[in-house]
Formats: sequence, C-alpha cells, structure tokens
Amino acid sequence: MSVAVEKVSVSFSGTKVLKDVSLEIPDGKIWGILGANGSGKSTLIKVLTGIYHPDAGQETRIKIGDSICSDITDSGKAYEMGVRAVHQESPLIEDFTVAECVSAFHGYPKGRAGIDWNAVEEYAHEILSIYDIDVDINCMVRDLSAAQRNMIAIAIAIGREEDLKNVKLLILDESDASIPESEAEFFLDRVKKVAARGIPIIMITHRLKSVMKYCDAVTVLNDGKNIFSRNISEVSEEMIITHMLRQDEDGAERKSDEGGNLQGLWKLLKIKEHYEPGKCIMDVKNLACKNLKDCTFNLCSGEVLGIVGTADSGISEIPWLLAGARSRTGGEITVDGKKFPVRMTSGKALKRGVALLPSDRPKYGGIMECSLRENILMPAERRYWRHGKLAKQAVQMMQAVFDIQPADSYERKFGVMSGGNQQKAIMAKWMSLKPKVFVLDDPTYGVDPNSRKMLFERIKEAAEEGMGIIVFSTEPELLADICTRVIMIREGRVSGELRKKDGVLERETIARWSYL
Amino acid sequence: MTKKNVLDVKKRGVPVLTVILALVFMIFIPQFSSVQNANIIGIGRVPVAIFAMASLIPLAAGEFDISLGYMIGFLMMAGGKMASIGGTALGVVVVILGLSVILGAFNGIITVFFKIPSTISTLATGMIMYGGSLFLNGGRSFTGVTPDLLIWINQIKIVKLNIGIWICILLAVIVYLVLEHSPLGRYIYETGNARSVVELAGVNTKAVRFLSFVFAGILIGFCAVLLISQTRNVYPDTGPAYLLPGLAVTFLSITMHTPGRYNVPGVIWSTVLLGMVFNVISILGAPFWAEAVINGLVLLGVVIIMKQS
Repeated sequence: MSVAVEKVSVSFSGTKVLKDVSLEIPDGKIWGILGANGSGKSTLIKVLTGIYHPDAGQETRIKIGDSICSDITDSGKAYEMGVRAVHQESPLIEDFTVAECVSAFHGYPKGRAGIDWNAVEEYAHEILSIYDIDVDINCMVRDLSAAQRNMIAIAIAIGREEDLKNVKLLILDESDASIPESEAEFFLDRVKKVAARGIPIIMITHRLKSVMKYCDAVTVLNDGKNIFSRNISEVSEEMIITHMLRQDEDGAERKSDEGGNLQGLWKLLKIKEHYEPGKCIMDVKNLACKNLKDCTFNLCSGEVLGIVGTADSGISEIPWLLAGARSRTGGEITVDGKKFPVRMTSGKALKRGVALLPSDRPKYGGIMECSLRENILMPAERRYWRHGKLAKQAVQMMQAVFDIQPADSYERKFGVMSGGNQQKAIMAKWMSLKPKVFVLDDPTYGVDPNSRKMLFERIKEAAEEGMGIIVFSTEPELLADICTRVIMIREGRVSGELRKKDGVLERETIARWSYL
Repeated sequence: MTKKNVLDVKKRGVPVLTVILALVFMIFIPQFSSVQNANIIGIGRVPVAIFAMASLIPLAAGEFDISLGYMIGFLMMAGGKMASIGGTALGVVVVILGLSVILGAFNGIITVFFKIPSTISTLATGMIMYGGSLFLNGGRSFTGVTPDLLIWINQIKIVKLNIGIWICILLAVIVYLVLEHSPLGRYIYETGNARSVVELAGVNTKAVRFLSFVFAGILIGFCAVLLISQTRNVYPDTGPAYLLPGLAVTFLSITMHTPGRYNVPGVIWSTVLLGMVFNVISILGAPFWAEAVINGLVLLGVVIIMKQS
C-alpha cells in the first residue's frame, strides 16, 4: 500500500517545471504540500491524476497502492489505480439537491418505473452518514455553506464503505480555499476521519495553520523541486516559510531597455499626463463590502503598495472595489480629491485614472477568441480605429517593451499564446494608458521566471514615472522585491503596516501576514 | 493549411464551392446564366440576407433575438394599415422604419435593463408582435394596399439589377464597415466573446447590447419595406417564414471569412450559394418542399465539414 513518486520531472516546451520530485506518503497520513504559485504543486497533482505526463526517465516511478507505473496515462487510469481528487471548485450542480448530486456522480439506482427515488435518498443518506455530514439531502446545493459543499465533494469522490477499498489516494487540491476560517475546523476534522480509515491524503493548501494542526508531514516545493520534507513534529512555521520563499532566479538577464521603454511608448501614443511624485493620489476610508468591514489606507504617486491577507480576510474584494467593478456598501474612495460615487462601473474608474489587472486571466484578463491586437488596444479602441498605421506601431512597440513573443503575433489568437505572454500583453494594455493608479491582482500567477522579471522591471519603471501601483499577491517575495510599503488586511481591516527599512522590506514578516 | 493557401477550407471553402457551382450551373443549365434569372434569385434572397444580417448583430454581441421573424410580420402589417387608411409611400416607409427602431429598443430594454435572457425576452416580445400583427386587421391580410410609388421604385433597375439587390449590397457594406472597422463593431464582437473582460476595459456593455437590438430592428425595418414593395398584398404571417432560413444563413457565416465569428461576407456568400442551389432545383422542377430540406442539409453538411477540417 502507500503512495510513492520517484524522480518525476515534467517539462513544457523545453522548460522543466517539475524537477526530479520524490515523495512517499504512508497509509493513513495527511501530507501537506506547500509552495508559492508556480512552484510545481499543480503540476505534481496533474501527474498523479493522469492529466500531465512525466518526462521519460529510467528511474521515474509512480506507486499508488499496489500498482506501479512510470506514467499514469489518463484520468481514467488514475481513477482505476485508486486516485480520487477534490479540486477547489466543487463538482456539485447548483440547482440539484444533495441527493441528486450524489446519484449524478455514482449513477441513478433504477426501479421498475424509471429512477428509484427512495434508493437515491437512501444512497445519499448512507454516504453522508459515513463522513458524519449533517446536511438535509433534499437541500439545494446552492444553499450549502462552502465547508458543506467541500465535504460532500469528498464524500462523492470516495463513495460508500465498499468503495473505500478501491481508494488508494485522496488529493485535496486547495479544496479548503473557499472555506472561511470559522468553518475550516469542521471540514478538516472530517478529513482526519477519512485518513483514519487508512487512506493516504495529499493536501494542497495555502493555510499554514491548517497544515500545522492537521497534517502529519509536510513537503515544500520551490521552483519545481522538493526542497523540504519533514514530519510535522520536526518543523516550525518559520522553517516552512523560509523554505517557501523563492530563491533568487538565475534566468537569463535582460537589459531593461532592450526593446524600448515605457516613456518611448507613451511618447508614441502622445500620452502627456505627468504625475508629481509623492503626492497622495488615492485615499480609501472605512471601505466596506461583504467580508471587508472597515478598511482605510492611502496611496501616493510613485509608490508601490503591497496588500496581503488570508483568503477569508476580505482582501479579495479590494481590487474590484478600487477599479469600480463592484460597488461598495460603505466607506469612501477618493482619487485626486474626487470621490467615487457609490454606484460604480469600471468605465467611471478608468475615467478617473484607475485600471485593474485582474487575477483570473481567462475570465477577466483577455478575450481568448480575439486577436492580440484587439485585446491590447481594446480600452483605447476609439483612438486607433481610423489610424491603422498607429495601431500597428503601438502594438509593435508594446510587444517590444513588454517582450511579447512571438514578434509576428499581431493578428494571433490570444488564446493560443502562452500564459506568460498573455499576462505581458494584458499588462501592456493597461500600462499603455498610463493610469494614475494601477491595481495588480496576483500579476505573476502562472508566469514563468523570465517574464516575472520583466513584469517587475516595468512595474518599477512605471512607479518611477509617477504612477501609483497597488499589488495584491500570495507571494511575499514578490512584494518584498517591488513594494515600497506593505499593509496587512485581517478580518476586514488594515491591521499592520510595513515600511522599507534601509531600503529593504522584511519578506519573513510579509510571509507571516500572507499565510498565518 | 498555410495562410497563402487559396483553398484554405476554413476561410474560403464556401466561396470556392459557390464559384465552382456557379460555373457548373452556367455550363450545364442554360436558363441559369441570364440577367433575368439573376434578378429572380436576388429578389427572392434579398430579404433572407437582410434578415440574416439583422440576426447577426445581436448574436455577435452574445444575444439571440428570436422575435425578428414576427417583427417583419408586424411591421409589414403596420405598413399595410398605414396604406389602407390612405397613407402615402413616404408615410408607410416612415411608419415601418420608425416602429422598427421602437421595437428593437423595446427588445433591448427588456433584455438588457430587466436582465432577462434574450431567448426568453425575445420569444415573449415576438409573440406579442405576432398578436399585434393579427390585431391590426382582425387576422386578415391587407389586399391591394401598397402605394404605387413603392411598387414602382421596387421595379427600378440599376445596371440591369433590381434596386432591392443594390439596397441589400449597400446595407451589407454599411454593416460590414461598422462591425469590422469601427470601435462599436469591435466592442460588439468583444462583448459577445467575453463581456466581463470588456467591462473592465471601461466599455458600457449594456449600451453595446442594447444597440445591437436596435440595429437588428432597423435592418428588419428595411427588410419589411422591401417585402411590402414586392407585392400589393400584406399577410400577417409572412414574417416567421424568414426566421429559420435567415438564421441558417447567419450560422453558415461563421464557417467562412473569419471562422468562428458571425460575419457579413459569410452571410453574403451563404446567401448566394443557397440562392443558386434553390434556383437550380426549381429550374429542374423539384417539389416545393425540397428547398427547406436542402437548406437544412447544406447547413448541417457545411458545419460538419468545417468541424472535421
């Protein structure tokens, strides 16, 4: 029994994203896997669920229970081998009842006249009682709490008592991310019960507290490598944080002005706005919306402000409120002395000089079906439509300044470009407007190291030109690298501020704020 | 397939097929290649092409307007009513076009501002319009009402081709330029593809979607004017007959020119292709039901071939 991976590497277009990772998880243990975005966690999970395939290697081996292979060829084989995964988005159907959802995944029991609805209910009862989930099976999924949904997703993934013997590995892939801290204990207590039945569990999470309390051991992935694996009794929170911090990258150096700079771009586009450095440009007072209760901070021209906090702190609302995409329920946002009206739109925010680079790239960042040109010029389309030559020049210049590859992708479909190039294009789209305040929500998500470096350079350059920049990120090292000041949000309020000391921000403190 | 390949199936499959078929018909069917026949094809297909362009605009913006067929019927009956009470040609045209703007705006308001899915809202407004077209003359048609001037204008020929064909070409050029070469057109396509992304770029997507319904209404207005000019009689159930053939052309358009997008050149090529095919089968004496069957088969065939390629 037990689960083991040995010397697993995965490469994409010649770049190794997982490097000789080995791991062994004994039966009945909960194994936490931690790491910053892009550290290789998701890749490892996708190898175990048959979605990605490891590079061919003589010593590569994956052992799930009694089955051993060098590659899990597809998700069907992963299921056959006993791998069950529960992802962040629970697979439940909003408009179905709990009982219907359970049967939708395990098959509807049939009676003489179609579906045997009594059996459907009995089946759901049986599954929920095994895991001690106290939920009305006739309740609609949309009325359940996040913790209840995730528990039901686990129950569905594993099944009944007799299915249990077929489960050799349970993977919880950030399935606790949407659960507020108050409910997390309920969820993790049940997870512990599943482990007690002898099933090895891999738990991917950003919550260090949960790892310390519920996991038996922990592995930290950094830059695709397993750099730290210990029993939980041998580690401290500080040790984990230290190992999660990204090491200095040794990627190819890129001269900052290799392809032109922002000033050149703005000159071409005849953007003449000038921002006086050090002047307060954004003032946020008692901002409230959902989990956000009373948030107050300000931003000066030329400043790069980092904002950190755990998922349940209300932090995720702030970028949308600042960019006008959501309306606040309380408080004030003032830009350059002018108050935002309560009913806001992104258009109104843009007019006042606030732009947002959102975190969910496929949903909010770019239009995958449209061309690079359409994506990159969208906010300023009116300026270019009768000036085809200028449009082409502008796109080419943005490609050069932001190193968007390949160079001939003017009419290329956005969806076929790599994540890094997409992010650079979205960054170019907003930077080309020279907004007064640029809000970046997780700007380096799924971005390769070289592109990160370029994005950092441009952020710093934009700040030097007087733009005010606000960065939200789950990566403390990123914030330590580019920010001039970092604030922490806790329970909907600003509860800490860190300023540069001798030109340095303490990344350990930022990390503590992000994860604890 | 390389960019330079003339036979790029995904972009040029239907146009190339259309040209080949035209040549084959010209060689083997003598009646096909006369100006008179071209006018017959044109007069029959122009309303379908305009209908297709009308339905294309909301579809490009991510909305589906089912009411357009009923709108033709209602507008024609309104024009008929105007004429029956002694309205002049200009009066009839003004009533039809004016009402088309109002009905398009009504669809837009119901869908966008009351946040109702467009399939449901336009199904409802379509039924209301159908009821309205029955109401206007107690369920009966208007006979012999169309003003002489409209009939006369409709018979004008420019370079041997009927004026209706030229109006259709002019509308196609305008719609093409607006959709492909103006910011509003870009916003329409972008809104249809990823509304949340476009909203973040400061575009008022509500206005874009609302306008797409208004434009569709205006085009349907032109369609109704052309149809009322083709005959002296106006029937309350004329409109719905254009719904399925028109939509077939709209959906065919996404298989060519800019594959994956509803586009005007695609509408024109599809109209010409189907018009030729129907014309030839009618010359060859096919039964009356063959046109509908062939329409469906062509749509299925082309889409399957495009999927496979």
